[in-house]
Amino acid sequence: MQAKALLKAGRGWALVFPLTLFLMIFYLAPIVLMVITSLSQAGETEGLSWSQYAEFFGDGFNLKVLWDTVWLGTQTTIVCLLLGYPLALLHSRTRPGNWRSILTFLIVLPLLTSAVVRTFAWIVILGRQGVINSALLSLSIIEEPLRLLSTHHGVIAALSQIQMPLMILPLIASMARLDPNLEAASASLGSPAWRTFWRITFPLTLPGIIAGSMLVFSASVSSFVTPSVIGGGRLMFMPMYIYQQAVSLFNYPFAATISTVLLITVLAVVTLLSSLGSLTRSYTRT
Amino acid sequence: MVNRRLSHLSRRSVLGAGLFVGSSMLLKACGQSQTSTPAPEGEEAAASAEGEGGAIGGSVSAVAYPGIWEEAHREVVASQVKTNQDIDATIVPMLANDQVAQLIAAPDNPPFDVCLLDEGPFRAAPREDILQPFPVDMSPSFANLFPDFQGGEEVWGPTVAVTAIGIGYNADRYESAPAAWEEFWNPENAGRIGLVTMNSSLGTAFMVEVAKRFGGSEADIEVAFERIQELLPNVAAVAPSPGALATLLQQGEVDIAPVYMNAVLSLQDAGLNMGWAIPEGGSVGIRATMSIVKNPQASVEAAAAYIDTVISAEAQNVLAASPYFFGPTNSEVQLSGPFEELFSTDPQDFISQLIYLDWDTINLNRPEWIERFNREVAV
Amino acid sequence: MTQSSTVPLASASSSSAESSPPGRGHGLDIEGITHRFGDVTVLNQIHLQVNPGEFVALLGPSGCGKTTILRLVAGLLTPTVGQIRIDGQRVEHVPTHKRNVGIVFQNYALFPHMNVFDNVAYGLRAQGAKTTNVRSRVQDMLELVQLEVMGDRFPNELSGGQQQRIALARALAVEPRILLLDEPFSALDKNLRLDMQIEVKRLLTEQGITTMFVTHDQEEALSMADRIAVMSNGVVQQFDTPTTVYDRPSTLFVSQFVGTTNLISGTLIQHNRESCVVSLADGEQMQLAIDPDMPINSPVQLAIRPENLRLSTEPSPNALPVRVDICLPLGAATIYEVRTASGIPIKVTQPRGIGVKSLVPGQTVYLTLASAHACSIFHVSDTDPSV
Repeated sequence: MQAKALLKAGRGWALVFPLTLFLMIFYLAPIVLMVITSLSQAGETEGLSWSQYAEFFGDGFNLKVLWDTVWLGTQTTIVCLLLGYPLALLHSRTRPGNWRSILTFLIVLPLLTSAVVRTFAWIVILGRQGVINSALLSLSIIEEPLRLLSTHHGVIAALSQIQMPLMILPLIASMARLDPNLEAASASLGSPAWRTFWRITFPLTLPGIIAGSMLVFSASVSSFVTPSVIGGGRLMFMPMYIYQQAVSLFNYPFAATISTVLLITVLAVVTLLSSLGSLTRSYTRT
Repeated sequence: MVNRRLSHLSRRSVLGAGLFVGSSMLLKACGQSQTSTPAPEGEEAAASAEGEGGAIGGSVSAVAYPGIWEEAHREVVASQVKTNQDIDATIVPMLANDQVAQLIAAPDNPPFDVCLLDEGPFRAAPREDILQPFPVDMSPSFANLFPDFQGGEEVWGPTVAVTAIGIGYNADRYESAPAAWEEFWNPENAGRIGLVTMNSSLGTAFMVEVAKRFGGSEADIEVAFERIQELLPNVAAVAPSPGALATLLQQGEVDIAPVYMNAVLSLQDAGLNMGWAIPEGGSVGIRATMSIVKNPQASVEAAAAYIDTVISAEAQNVLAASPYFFGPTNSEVQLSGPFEELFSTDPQDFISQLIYLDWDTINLNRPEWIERFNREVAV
Repeated sequence: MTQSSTVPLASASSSSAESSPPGRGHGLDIEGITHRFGDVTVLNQIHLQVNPGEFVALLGPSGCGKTTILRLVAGLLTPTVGQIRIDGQRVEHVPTHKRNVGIVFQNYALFPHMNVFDNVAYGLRAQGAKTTNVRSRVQDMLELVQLEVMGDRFPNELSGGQQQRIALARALAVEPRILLLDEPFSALDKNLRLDMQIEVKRLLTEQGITTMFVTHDQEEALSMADRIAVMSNGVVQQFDTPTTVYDRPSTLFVSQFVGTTNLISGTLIQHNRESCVVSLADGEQMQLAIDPDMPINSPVQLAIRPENLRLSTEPSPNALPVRVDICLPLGAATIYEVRTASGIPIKVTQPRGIGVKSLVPGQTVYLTLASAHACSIFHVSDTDPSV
C-alpha cells in the first residue's frame, strides 16, 4: 500500500524531472557558481574565504549602497501600494463591461511597453523642461525649474509607475476573491465605510498586498535601467554596483559577493513578507 | 527672447527623436545577447563567390557602440559591405568593456566576429587571448591609413575612427564658447555642469585632462579628484555613459559638459542650438580600433572585408560628414563643414591637432580611479 | 390584492415603538417603490406594510426583484422612486450603517478572519460598546443560538447550520429594528433545513423582531411566514396570510407558483350573485359557487387544487365522468391523474387509509369539487402578465 503510494508520488516527480533538471542547470548551478566565486579570494590566492564579505561589510560605502537599495525598494513598494490600492479597488468595484475592460487595459498597459521606453518617458516628465516643470513654471508656482532627474525621488516616481502593475494585479486578484456581502454585512452592523475598510476589506486583501509588495520590492531592488537612467551616476544602487564591479573593473569575486548579498537581502525580505502572508492564509483558503 | 523661444521649440521637437535614439541605445546595451547568429557561411559563401565573381559573401556580426556609432555603421558600413562584397553584416550594439567581458567569458564561442575598442579598454584587454592578428593582405584600404593608425607593432587591427573630446555647451546659455576645462569651476556655471563616470574613455580622459591642467599627469590624477570634490555641489548630473550625457545636454538638464565632438555636431545637425569648443591646451583624441576576434563564426575574409570597408575612403568620407562626423583615419578623406571650422579640411591637420593620452599608464590605475570616482560622486 | 393589516400603521409609528417593550418589533412601510437598473425596471410600484413583530416572506422565482427589496430596505441600494419608512420615519437616504437593519445573507457572509466571538461582537464594537458589555452580550447571543462553546472557532471550522446560527446571532446582537434574511436556508441540506426553519422561527418569534425574508421555496414561505408577498416580474401579486395565498390566490401566477394546481380552460357561460357556470373545452359544464366579476363568454382558467377534488365511483349531479390514468399511493394520500373525455389531465389527491379502496387505472369515475368554493376562476386575456 505504502509502496504503491510512493510509486505514485514517484511518477509525479518523474513528470517534473525535466523542469527540475532545467532549473538545476540553468538556475541553481549559476547561483552556486556565483556563491563560490564570492567566496574566492582576490588575486591568485587559492581556497575559499569570507574575505570578500568582510570587505563588503567593512566598508561604509557598500553598506550605504545596500541600505539605499533596500530603502529604494521599500519606498517604491509603499508608493505602489498607496497609489495602486485605490485603483485596484476602483477596478474591482466597476461592473464588468466596457469601463472595466478599459481600466484593465490601462492597468496592464505599462507591462506592454518596455521598461526602457517607460524610463525615457519619465525623462520627458521629470526633466528641467519636462511636463512637470513646464506646468509649474507656466502656472508661476516656481520660478526656476526643479531638479527632479538625478534625484532619489525621481527614481522612486519612475520606478513606482513602472512596477505598478506588479502591485495592482495581485491586489485585483485578492479583491476578486472578496465577498461583497462581507462589506454589506459590516455596514449593516453599524460600521461606517472607514471601519469596514480597516476591519474587513484591508485585512482580507492582505494576501494581495503581500504578494504585490514582494513582487514590487524584488523587481525594484534588482532594477538596473531605471535607476541608472533617471538617477544618473551619482546614485548608486546594488545592480549598478554589481555591473560596474563585473564589467568595468573585472572584479568578479567582489561582483559575486555584492550579488549574493543582494540575493540574500531579497530572499530575507520575501521570506519575511510571506511569513506575514501565511498568518492570513488560513482564513482566506476557502 | 524670440530667439530663445525658437530654440526651445526646436529643442522640444527633437526631444522625441532623441528619446527614441536614447532608448534604443539603452535597450540594446542591455540586451547584448541578441546577437543574430550568422548563417552557416561555408556553402553560402562558396555559392555566392561563384555566382558573383570576386564578392566574398557570407555574413559577419560586428560590434558598434550603442547610439551614433551603431547607427552610422548600420546605415553606411553594412550597406556598403553588402553592395561591394555581398556580406550580410549584423551590427551588435555593445560598450567596450562589455565586449571584453564577453570575449573573456566565451573565447571559444565569441558572440560577435569583429570588436570595436577604445584605446583604454583595448590596451587593458588580454589581446593575445581574445583577438587575432589583422590580415593586412586582405585589406586594400589598410595602406591608405595614416601610419599612426595602422597599429604600429600592435598587429591587432587598424584604428577606424578618432573622436575628439571637447566642451559641449548649450549655445542658448553662452554668448561665447567656454575656453578651457577650468571654465567648469567658474561659479557662473553652478548647477549647470554635467559629468560622466570614469567607466567610459570620455570620463577618464576628462579627469586626466583636468589633472594635467592643475599639475597632474596620466600617472597621477589626485589633483583632479580634489578639484572634482570642489565642483560636485555645482554638478547637475553625473551620467552613467557618454550617450546619456549627450541626452542630458540635449534636454537642457545640463548646459556644459565634456562630450565627444560628433555627439554635439549631430545634435546641431538635428537643429539644436549646441556648441562644441576645443578646450585650451587642445582636444583629446580617442582612437577606436577594430579587430577580428579569435574563433570567429564568420570567415576571416568576411570579417577582414568588413573592417576594410570601415577604413575605406568611400565609407569614411560618409562617416566624417553630416550627420555622423567621425574623425577619419584614412588619409584620402576630405573634411568639410564643422571640421573645417574647428580644425582643417585636411585630415592630417585634424589628427595632428589632437592630444593622445598614454593609456598604458592610465590603465595601471584606472580600476581604482573608477571605483574612487563612483564613491566620491555618490550622494 | 388583499391586506389584512389589523393594526393601523399609524399606531405602530415611533411613538408606540418607544412605549413597546425592548425587543418588540418595529413597523416597516414600503410605499410606491420603483427601482431601475439602467433601463431595466426591476421593481414596479411596490407597496408593502409590515407590522411590528411580523414575519414576512418575499416569495417568487429568481429575478422577480425580491432580493432588490431586501437591499433597498437595508440601504445597500437607494430606490429610484418611492419611500421606505421604519416606524414611520423615512430612511431611503439613511446610510446602511445608520439604519440599524440586520441582514443574514444566503452565504452567511461571516467574517472569515475573525473567530465566532469577534464576528458576533463586530456590531457591538462598531457601536462603541464597553468590553464587558460586549462580552456578556455576545455570550447571550451565543447561548441564544446554542453555540456558546464555539466562540474561539473560525467560520471555516463550522458546519453550514452553525454558520447560519452565528450569522443570526451576529445580526441580532445589535438589536436591529428590522431583520432581513436572504434565502437563509437554501445552502442547507434538506434535513438540517427543517430543523433550522423551526429554530429560527421560534427564535425570532421569541425576540418579536420584525423580519422580512426572501425565498423562492413556497413550502418555506408557507410554513414560516405570517404573511407572504408573492412576487413576479417586479410586481407584488398578492400579499396575504399563507392560507389565503394558498386557498384564494389572487392571480393565476400565484395559484400556479404556490402549491400544486390544476388549470382548466373554459368559457364563462352564465353567472349570478351566488354562482356561475363554466363550459369546459369538451362541452362539459361546471357549476361554481363564485361570482366572478367578468362578462359572459369570457375565456377563463379554473385553478383547482388536487386536494379539493373528490373522486367517486358513483355518478352524481354536477359530477364529471373521468378515466383514471395513473395512481400513485404516497403514504397518507394517493395521487391520481385522471382525464376528462376530451383528454384534459387533472391531478387529484385522495386521503388513503385502511378500508379505503384504491381506484385502478382505466376505471371510469366521477369527479366533483370538494366544495363549491374550492376553485378559483381567472379571466384570461392576452395582456395578462401573470400567465
